[in-house]
Amino acid sequence: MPISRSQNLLQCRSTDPSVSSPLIDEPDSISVFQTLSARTAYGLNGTMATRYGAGGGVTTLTGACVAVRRSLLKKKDFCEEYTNEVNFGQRRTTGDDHCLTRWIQNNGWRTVWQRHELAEVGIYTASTSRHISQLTRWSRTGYIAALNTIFGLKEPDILQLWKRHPILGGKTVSRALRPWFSVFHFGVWVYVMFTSPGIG
Amino acid sequence: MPHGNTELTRISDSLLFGIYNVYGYVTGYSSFLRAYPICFKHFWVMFIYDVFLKHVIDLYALLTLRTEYWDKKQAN
Repeated sequence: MPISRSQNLLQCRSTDPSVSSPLIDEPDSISVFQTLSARTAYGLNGTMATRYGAGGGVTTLTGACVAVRRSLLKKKDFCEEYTNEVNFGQRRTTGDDHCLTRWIQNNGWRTVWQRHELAEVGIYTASTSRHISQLTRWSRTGYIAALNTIFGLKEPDILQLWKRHPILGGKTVSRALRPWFSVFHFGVWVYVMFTSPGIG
Repeated sequence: MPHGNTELTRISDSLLFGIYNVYGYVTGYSSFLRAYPICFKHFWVMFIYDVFLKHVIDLYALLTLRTEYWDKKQAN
């Protein structure tokens, strides 16, 4: 099996026709999973804009690139929390973006964002089915983070979050309910298949 | 009974719900394909994802939540 080739699909967003990318040069080479990856990444544009515009939230992308101040790394409690995040009594390997965001907000750090073309962060799209496992991992991480907030296992809990960012509080609740809506979807589909197979 | 034929009513309600869904798909997909016309070749995968795969992934993630923990990881 060849090593999966990753291509930066978001570079194609440039409206300048002189800006080229491997993807545009080889249009036949795009795979199904790259299309799916681009679609999921594109769907985040509206979500992130809504969270910023309506809720005042700033997205952090620690997975794609992270630069941490040395003064922050000298703090032992931060390093402990960032590298040994405990959820439900067990250490986790993912969810560093949630952990970092929560930590800097709870400890009085100010957040700024750069609005510059050079500060744009691209997402590498997987050309193989590896993207499906990535989506599964994101789904697990988001669900666990929502549960942490709702059950008050991490600061801020849902009431504090609701007071600070009402839109994000609502999004957190809907995120925790999302897998259960999927269960409901399947249940309704099975029921309709039995009662009215034509509609199902 | 407000309607005489209940089967027809159910079908029309389903069609209305379907049209509402299709409207969302058309607007969402068209804006995406305008930004990335190169993805038109595999546009069907977006529909499969939104209708089916998204829910399967959520269900699978719900059933395998504990795999993200350190003690479940295999050493390389």
